[in-house]
Amino acid sequence: MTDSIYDQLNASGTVAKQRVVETFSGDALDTDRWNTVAWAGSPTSGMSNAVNGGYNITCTSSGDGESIGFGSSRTNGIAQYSYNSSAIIFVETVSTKTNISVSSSGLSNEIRPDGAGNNASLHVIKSAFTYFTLRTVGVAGSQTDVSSSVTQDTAEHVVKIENKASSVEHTLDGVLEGISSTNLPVLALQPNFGIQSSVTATVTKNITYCEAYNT
Amino acid sequence: MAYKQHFIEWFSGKQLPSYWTMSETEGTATMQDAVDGGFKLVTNTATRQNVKMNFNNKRQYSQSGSVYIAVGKDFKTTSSGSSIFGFFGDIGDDLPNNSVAYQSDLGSNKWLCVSRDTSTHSTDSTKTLDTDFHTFKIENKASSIEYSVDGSLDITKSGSYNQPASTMQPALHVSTGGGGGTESASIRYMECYNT
Repeated sequence: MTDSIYDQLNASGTVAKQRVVETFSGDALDTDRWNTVAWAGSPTSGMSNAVNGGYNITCTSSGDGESIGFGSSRTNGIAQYSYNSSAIIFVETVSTKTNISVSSSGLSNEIRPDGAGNNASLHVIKSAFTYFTLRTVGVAGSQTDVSSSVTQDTAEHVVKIENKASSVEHTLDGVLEGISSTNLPVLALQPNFGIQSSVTATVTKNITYCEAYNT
Repeated sequence: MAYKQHFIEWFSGKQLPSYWTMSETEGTATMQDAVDGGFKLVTNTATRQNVKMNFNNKRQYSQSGSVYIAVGKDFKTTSSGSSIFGFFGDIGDDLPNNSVAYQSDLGSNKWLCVSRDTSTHSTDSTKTLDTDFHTFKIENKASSIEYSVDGSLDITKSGSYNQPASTMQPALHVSTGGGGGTESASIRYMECYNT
C-alpha cells in the first residue's frame, strides 16, 4: 500500500479538492481552525478528559447556546465547501434527548446552533422531534425537515450529509435515511456544530470526528 | 518497520495553524473564503517582494528519502516573479541552498523542476504553466529525484543534478523577482513524509 494519504484518498491523476479532517484530540480545540461562537447565555465547551471523549459543548441554563465553525464571527466565516458538491461526515452524541431546543451539526454558511439562518444542510435533534432529522435551509431562511427512521437517542452515531446538485442526502450509521430536494443551500458552506438548551438543565453535545470535502 | 515523520496540512479553517512560520510577509497570506480556495499568498507590487511560509528551519525531512505533495496554483502565466512549492533547506533566499521544488517561471511560461545544493539545477517540466490547480509531487531518493504532476511522472533527475546535501522543511515561497508586479499562489493541500 502507498505511504501517501493523498494517493489513498484520490484516484490517480485527480487534483484534490478542499478537504479537512478534525479528530478533536488534544489539550484544547484548535483555535487556528475553529472559532467558538456563543449564541446565548453562558455555555461551556472544551476537550474531554475521557476515553473517546472528543470535544464537548455544554448548556446548563434555559436558552444557552453555542456553536463552532471556521469564521471569526457568526456571519464572517471561511466557507470553502460547495453547497451542491460536498460532503461532511461526523461522529457525535448528545447527553439527553430531552431539554434540547436545537442541536444542529453539518455544513452551514453561518456559525449558529439553532438550525436557522440561511443556507445550511444539517443533522438536527430537538426535544420536539421523535426522530433524527435532516434539515436543509435555503437562501431566504425557509426550511425543509426530513425525518429519518431512527429514534433520537444518546448513542453515538456516524452522520454523513452529502450536498448534491439538486438534493441533500442524510445517512446515519451507513444507512441512507433521508433526501431533501427543497430549500437547498445556495451559498458556500463551512462545518458547524452547535447546541441550544430549552430549559435549565445540563445538555451536552459531544463530537469526536469531522471530515468535510468537496466532491 | 518504524514509523517515519508524516505531515498533512488541509489549509481549511479560520486561519493558518501556528506551527507555520511566515518568515517574510511583504504582501498578504490569508485563508480564502471561497469554495476550494485554500490558503493564498500575495506579494506587494514592488520588486523583490516575498511572501514565505515554512517551518522556521525545523528540518524533519530527508534529502535522500522523502516525498512532498502539494495541490497548488500560480495566478499568472507571464510577466515576472515565481511561486516555489517544495522542500527547502533554509528560509532566506527565494530558492535556498539544499532545496527541491516546482518553480513557476513567468518569464518563460513554464514550470521548472529545480534542485539545489549550493548551485541550482533546473529542468523544464513537461507541464506548461497555467492558472489551474495541479498536484505536484517530488520524491527524493538516494540518488535521484522524481517529479510528478497530476499523477504522471514528469521528470526524473539522476547523475549530476545538485542533489540537496542536508535535511529540509516544507515550504511555499512567492516572489515578484526583479520585475515587480503582484505575484500570487494558492495551496489547498500539502503532505510530506519520509520514506
